[in-house]
Amino acid sequence: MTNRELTHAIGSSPQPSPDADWANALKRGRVPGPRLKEHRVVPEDHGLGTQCVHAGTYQDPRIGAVVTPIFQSTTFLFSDHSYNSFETGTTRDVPIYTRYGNPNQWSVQEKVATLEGAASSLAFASGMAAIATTLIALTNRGGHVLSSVDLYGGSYALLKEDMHQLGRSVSFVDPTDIGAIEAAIRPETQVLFFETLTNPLLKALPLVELGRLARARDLLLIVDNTFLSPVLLRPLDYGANVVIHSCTKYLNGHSDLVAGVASGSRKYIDRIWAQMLKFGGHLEPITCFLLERGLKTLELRMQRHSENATQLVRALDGHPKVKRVYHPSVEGYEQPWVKHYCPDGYGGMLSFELRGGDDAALAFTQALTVPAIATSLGGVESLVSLPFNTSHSILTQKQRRDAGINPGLVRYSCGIENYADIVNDALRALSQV
Amino acid sequence: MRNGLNTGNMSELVHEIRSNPLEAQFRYSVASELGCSGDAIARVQTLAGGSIRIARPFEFYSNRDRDAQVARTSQEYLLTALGGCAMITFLLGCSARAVSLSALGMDVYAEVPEAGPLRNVNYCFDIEADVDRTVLSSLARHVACFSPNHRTFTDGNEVRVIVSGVTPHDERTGQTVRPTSVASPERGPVSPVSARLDWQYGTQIRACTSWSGRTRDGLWVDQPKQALGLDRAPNPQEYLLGSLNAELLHRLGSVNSDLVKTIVQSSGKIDLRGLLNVDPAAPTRVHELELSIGLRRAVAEADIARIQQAVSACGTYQTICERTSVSVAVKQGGQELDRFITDHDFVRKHLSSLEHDSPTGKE
Repeated sequence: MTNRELTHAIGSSPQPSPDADWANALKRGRVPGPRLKEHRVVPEDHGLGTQCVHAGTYQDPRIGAVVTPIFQSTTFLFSDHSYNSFETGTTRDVPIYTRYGNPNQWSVQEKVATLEGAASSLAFASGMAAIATTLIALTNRGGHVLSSVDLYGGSYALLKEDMHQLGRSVSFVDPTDIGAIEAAIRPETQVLFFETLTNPLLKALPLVELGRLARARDLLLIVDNTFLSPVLLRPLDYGANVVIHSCTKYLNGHSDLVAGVASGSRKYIDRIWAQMLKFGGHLEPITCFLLERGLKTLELRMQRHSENATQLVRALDGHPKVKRVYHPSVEGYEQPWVKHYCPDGYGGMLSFELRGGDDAALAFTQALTVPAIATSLGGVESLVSLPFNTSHSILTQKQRRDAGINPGLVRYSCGIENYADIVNDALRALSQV
Repeated sequence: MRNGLNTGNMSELVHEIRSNPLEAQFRYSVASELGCSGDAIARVQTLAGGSIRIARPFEFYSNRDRDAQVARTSQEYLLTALGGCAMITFLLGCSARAVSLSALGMDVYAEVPEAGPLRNVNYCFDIEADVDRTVLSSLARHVACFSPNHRTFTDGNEVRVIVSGVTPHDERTGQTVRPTSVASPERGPVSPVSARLDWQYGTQIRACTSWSGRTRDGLWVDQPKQALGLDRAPNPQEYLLGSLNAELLHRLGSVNSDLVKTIVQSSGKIDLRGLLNVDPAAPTRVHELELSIGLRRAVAEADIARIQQAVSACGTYQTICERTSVSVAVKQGGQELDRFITDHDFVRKHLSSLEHDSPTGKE
């Protein structure tokens, strides 16, 4: 590829010049991407399924491969363009070194950005790498992060155990109480960080109000949308500035890789990228290839996950051995607003409490035959785990109760098996409790 | 990354604020009070930078005692604010013009009278770069037009002064007061204050300041990471505001010992469109300046008079409010290339000599 082709593909250089009078003469504005001209751009008006399949595909100009090839190379030949990018600080747009950027990363990033309605995305080696890097990049020493008491354990540990060591303070509030969130804002608060649907109790954020609050108070709203995926919710449409996913879950969907992604405006994602360069945590090309492949079926899978979860909820809700089901579709669900911004379903997650407590929950899991009893979620195979002996085991019983994790709680991640098998299996297992 | 600055980011910012001026509005704020030792403690407040907040967890101390061993005087911060802003502005210009610097230093000097604004304010760029002298001279003249703190000196400003107190019912009340105008004596004893600033990397500058022969090293200047810096230290606008607070606090203590318990908070706004010359109509100087003097009790009539007296006598306040000319010199490799005096008239003429998108001129 010639320098000229590269320039055309990736947007303009700022073009500093002795002839420039002052900074106002600089030429470069923000461009979407990064992407090369070979990366397929799918228009916004195309359907999600089309975007899932085609967006970001590297269209090989020489061989004609239909699928993005794997660019398993750490480094790329220098050109005048790469030298210029070093000088002007635009290295994110040029293939130089795989930690900086790689065509496979750009393929998968373009696909996720398209699905999220974002200008840019950044792939990471894990969801936690995405969260940690984003929070540090978008706050300053002395800054304050407002987050949720109902947070994925890994995120909670980062906020509780590490952020203060990095000069940031954190407060935890009820993520469904907009009044409590507003009351906890301090002068130095910079970021609101929440999950759109919490783990494991599936509480839904008052996302619309939160977006308005963030704008009104000059705060950045960063949301973890892992449970819903961009197929069911695009948080950027509701005022979020950055949306994060653990791609390990639904986005890849096959429980065969670990990855994360952050999406948003080019301005914020560039800042996160600059932080990622220093922290490491980029995603390897071969894993990008797998993730890109997984994403192609995301829309289909999310429909099936949602359908299966809803069917299982119907079977469990009101069952004599089930004390309570946590899912947006159950009657009396406490955050009804989720139905307005998630009209097409809530993904494959549900939780429920068995009347017999943790012993009953253990017996239930041992009697199941369809799902795997394992941590994680969002794969094509159903997965079941008990918070009391996994994600929330570090808490005391009282702390778990305060967090709403009552004895007997089961977390069920519905895969894409046939729902009748999932439901019948669960009912049979309940009969043995 | 020429000169440690990301020209691409600067260019993107130019285009962003051209289409969205809200993102160009940066409001700085510093709150100060006197500590037990008599030092004025300046606490930099969260910066409202465009549509986000930027935490600025910095404190710096200043002492009225000119022989103080550790804390600097407010005037040393004021000179660092002037020189630091001019240097950062110069660096922005170098990056836009593809000028790579080997080294950049600056000597800043002024005389501090017993009352009234700084006198004989001057600074000298000390440049090492393989570039034509006319380019460096041109850049230095541009700095006089586009550096917010330089323009704050030369333009003159209105500073809104607010005095607030607490009623017996624990309610805070506030009123705007107009400082009495005081004629500054033309002559009288002056104290020299100076600073040597050395550019380190990007927008990081290390200053060594001197007052009455006593030198203090290791004062850092830096921009927030959202504005091309690395969050190392307060930036020039924050030093400017902290300097104003510190001198005022010390003067308040002089007029009435009860007023030493006051909290002084100053704030001011930068419009990046001025600094980057994106909109000729946008102000370059620190503007919308506000000085808030908060008493921890109810405000009495006598307090107002004392506060008016203290504000009026505050040299930093006067330097900001009046049009203060600044003499600028440029050295390359130790040899002087250029020397000129910048004032309101110089800025007007220099800007009109530049080609602008808008014919309205720059104020």
